[in-house]
Amino acid sequence: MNRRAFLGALGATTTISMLDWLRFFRARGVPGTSRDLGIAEAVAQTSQPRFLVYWFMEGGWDGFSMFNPVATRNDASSSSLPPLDRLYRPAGVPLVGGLYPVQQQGAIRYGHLANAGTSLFGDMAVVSSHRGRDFHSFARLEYHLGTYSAGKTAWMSAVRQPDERSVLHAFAEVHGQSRLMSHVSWHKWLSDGELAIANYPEGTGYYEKLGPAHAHTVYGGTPERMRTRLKQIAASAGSPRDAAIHAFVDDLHANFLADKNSEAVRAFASAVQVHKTFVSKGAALDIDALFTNPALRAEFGVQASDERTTARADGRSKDSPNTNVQALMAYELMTKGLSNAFWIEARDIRTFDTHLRRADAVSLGGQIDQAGRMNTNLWNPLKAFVARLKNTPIGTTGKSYFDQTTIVLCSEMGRHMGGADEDVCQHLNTSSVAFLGGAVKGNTQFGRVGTQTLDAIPILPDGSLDPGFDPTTGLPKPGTNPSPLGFVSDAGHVYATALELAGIPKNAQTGKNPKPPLAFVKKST
Amino acid sequence: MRHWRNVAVATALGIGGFAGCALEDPSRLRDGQPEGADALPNVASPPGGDAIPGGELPDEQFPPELLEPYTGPPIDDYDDTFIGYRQLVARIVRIFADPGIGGNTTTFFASRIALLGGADFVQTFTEPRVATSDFLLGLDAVAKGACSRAAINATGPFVGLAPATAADVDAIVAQLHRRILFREATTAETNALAGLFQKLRGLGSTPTDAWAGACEALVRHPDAIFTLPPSVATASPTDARTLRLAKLTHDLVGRPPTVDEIAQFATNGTGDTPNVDAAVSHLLALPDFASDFYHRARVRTESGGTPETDEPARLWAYLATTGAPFAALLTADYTVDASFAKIARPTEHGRTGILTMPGFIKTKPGLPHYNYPARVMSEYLGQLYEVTSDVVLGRTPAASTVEPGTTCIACHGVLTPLATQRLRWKDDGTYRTHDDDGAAIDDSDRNLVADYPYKGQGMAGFAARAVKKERFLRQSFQALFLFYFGRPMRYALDERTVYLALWKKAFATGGDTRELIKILANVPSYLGK
Repeated sequence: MNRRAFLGALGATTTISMLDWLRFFRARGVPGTSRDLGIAEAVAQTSQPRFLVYWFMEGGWDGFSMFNPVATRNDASSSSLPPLDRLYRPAGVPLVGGLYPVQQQGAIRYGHLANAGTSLFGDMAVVSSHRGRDFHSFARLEYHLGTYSAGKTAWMSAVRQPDERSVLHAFAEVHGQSRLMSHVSWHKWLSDGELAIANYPEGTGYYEKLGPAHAHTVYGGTPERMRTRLKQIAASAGSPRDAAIHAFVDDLHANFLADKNSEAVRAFASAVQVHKTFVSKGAALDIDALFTNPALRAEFGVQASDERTTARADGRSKDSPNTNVQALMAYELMTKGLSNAFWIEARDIRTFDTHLRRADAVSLGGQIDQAGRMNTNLWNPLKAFVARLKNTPIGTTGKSYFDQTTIVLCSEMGRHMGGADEDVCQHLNTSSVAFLGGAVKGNTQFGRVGTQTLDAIPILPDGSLDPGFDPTTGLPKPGTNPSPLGFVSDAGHVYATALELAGIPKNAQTGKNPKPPLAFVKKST
Repeated sequence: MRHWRNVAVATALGIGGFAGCALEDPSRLRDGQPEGADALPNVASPPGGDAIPGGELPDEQFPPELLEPYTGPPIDDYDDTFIGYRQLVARIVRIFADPGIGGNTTTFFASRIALLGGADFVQTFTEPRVATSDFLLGLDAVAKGACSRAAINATGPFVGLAPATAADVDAIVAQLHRRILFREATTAETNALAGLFQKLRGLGSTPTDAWAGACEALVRHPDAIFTLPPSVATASPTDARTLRLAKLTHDLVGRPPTVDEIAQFATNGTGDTPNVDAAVSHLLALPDFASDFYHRARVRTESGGTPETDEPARLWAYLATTGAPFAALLTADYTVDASFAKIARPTEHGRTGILTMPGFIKTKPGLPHYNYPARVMSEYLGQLYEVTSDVVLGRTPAASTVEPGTTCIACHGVLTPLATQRLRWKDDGTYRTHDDDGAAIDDSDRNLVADYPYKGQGMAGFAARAVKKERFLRQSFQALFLFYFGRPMRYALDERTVYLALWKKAFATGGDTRELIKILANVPSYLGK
């Protein structure tokens, strides 16, 4: 706690009296204690703070050029093959021996979309036998909620029930109680163009208010919006006078809520509880300085344009800044003790949804290369984020923030590289997921895609390939039965694994996700 | 037992006589016949003997099973909507009569539009449908700024009072309640607010600041932030009439009632209810209703705030405010300009309403994507498409999306032919008759699916059939329900009677949105009865 922070919290610009100090401490606690939120010392008092970050590439990345690498021709300029037999790989990627180059570093095989991320491989576990879903909104919802939609014809539009949790809700429920705003997200589930907002009224789809109020989703928005929010929190929490008014209003709200039941009331109850948390905890930090540190901004490559939101002509917007800004904000919110659960997501709607007409693939020389957007949205800011976390100690615990953090990299699906459709870059379930963090067994890869099946080869519970399948082609081995234990991971496994890595064992995980964690991803202790 | 009350109101409102016209029939209008000149296309005779208007086909008729009484458990969800940004601004401006909150009211609110969740169609395009913690934070600032100035200047809720003194506590408490909450304080409330004043004084506040604090508390009172003040349940009959009138004015014209409106519709009400029908008729005729509905339509149609993306909302607002058939949303052969005047548009649009507006098309890609048909069907006909895990697992190889017997056709039986009907409209909203290769475009449904319900040529062919469907009427009613109830109508449950009343009224009035709103205003739970 310094004088500047104190001034920032009070919004004061004039002389501070001892009475002011005493009032401040009465409202917020004494610096260095757990009530002095917003400073690293308070964070350090928690012996095992945990952080969970989902980093989601919305739209569907080109899995075959990422962590499902396969060496194939690029038939964009070939006229000898029937159109339906042609494969289209990213334009401009030099072939090696006539084939798309599959690379390997350490234990991890990868395509060129991961070139910029190789420095992270030592801390990364990749699961390449993985399936997303080929329907955007449904897939995204499963990465949030887990996989339990079987038997339900209208799972997305169903009213969410009290026992449901998104992965970040479940995490924040356990680890978020002491935070001002534990669960901060930059996604917008209804952002894309395939769902009609009117069909998903309050309480359906991705529902922000699952679990206890301290776990509810707060949309991060832009740096400016977050600063405005925090300033208002500081102002609302300002004095004993304000506290008395809050207490009076809290009683009014409690009386109102006592005997009423509807989605509008449920939302109001959440808002009241979160607001109560805000004004009781306050925001004792130098708010104007947040997200403005020139050195940090340089590390994350932040330009002014990155801090703005984007919107389409139909008004749909994630109201989010670029991912480098999200990552910078997450870092500061983590290290200031304000938040510990984050959903970082590509700012633009369907950034990776690179559908392509066959004719355009021919004229382009292949698929749209996602490398540029991958570097911008994922690798560059992720490397800065990880470096910062590694170099930031948690108080005097001897641990870094990275040690206590779990990062999940995923997208809702992969993409075809040809096929019968006129669209040669259609959605494809085949995908991958990667984990980083202190609990992750780095430099590992589990599963792979068959060169002939172009589908995930099942894996066993220890992460090895199912011996019933050819490890190269992916075809079933003649005369060998697939293992009854074999499986292909999905969003539900990711949900359970993320929480497991974040210190919440399966039997303590809330929500309805039935899938087990991928135990092999976890570092041995 | 709300469902029985709704039976009662529907019986009262749905009153037999549907001797009016059918929904707009494009073929008739093309022949130059006036709307409503013909008899109904068909009158079904459901069990029970009561004749219900509807079309000739089964999917154009009111679902017969919904004519049976609801027998499920009572549904007593609390119907009330949280105040919106525009409603809050109007309320604060009215109560405080202060154009200078924070120096400038417009600037004051504009600087907080993100926290308060308003849609400005420049930076912020949607608005939350419910309360948020950010809104409550923003309200803290609104309350503090407005109350502080009012207490210091003895304006707004303090006008005529002397908040700089500690005298006249009861009088100040009473006036604060009347001017901020539009009702008298109960004895308990008087004591509580006076207690807060004394507590703030004890914490060192001056009388002015302590009264400002009391004012802040009332600005954040549930009665001030829900469109139907929750205290209506316990208020005196006189106050309840005013509070219910406030619900109507907030919803229909986006502001609290004026003194004249209170005198005209609350004072002359009956028991605890204002003169609802007269009040609604009055409000629907005001320019503020047009602007309020236009704003709702902009949010609903996801306008980006440009003239082009506003075009669908302009048409919708035009229909709602003029009494033109709401079916024209999909079948109008005209458009509406920036002054909300009806104007002609190029003939290639035909009778397609919003369906061929560039601002509508551009964000809903057509083939090879299915966004356009999926959005049209889900938004305007209530047909949801969710590719769930069961659908994925149940997929079988198919030669085409419309191959009979496959899982694909369950959705694509509609999506694919509708996509072909839009083929003459490119994703950029321009019209063409030939494709990029110079071949003439067949924009019929191509008889791809034998039982496709919307067969015809182009989007006009689709629209002509679509507006007759039960699901179109239902979804049109649902749009209004979402506007004013903040939730979907429970049409298959206890609100089947409301649905029936809306259905009948739609036929009886030729699809006059204003008449449908009058029905909603009389649904008991809407006014907290």
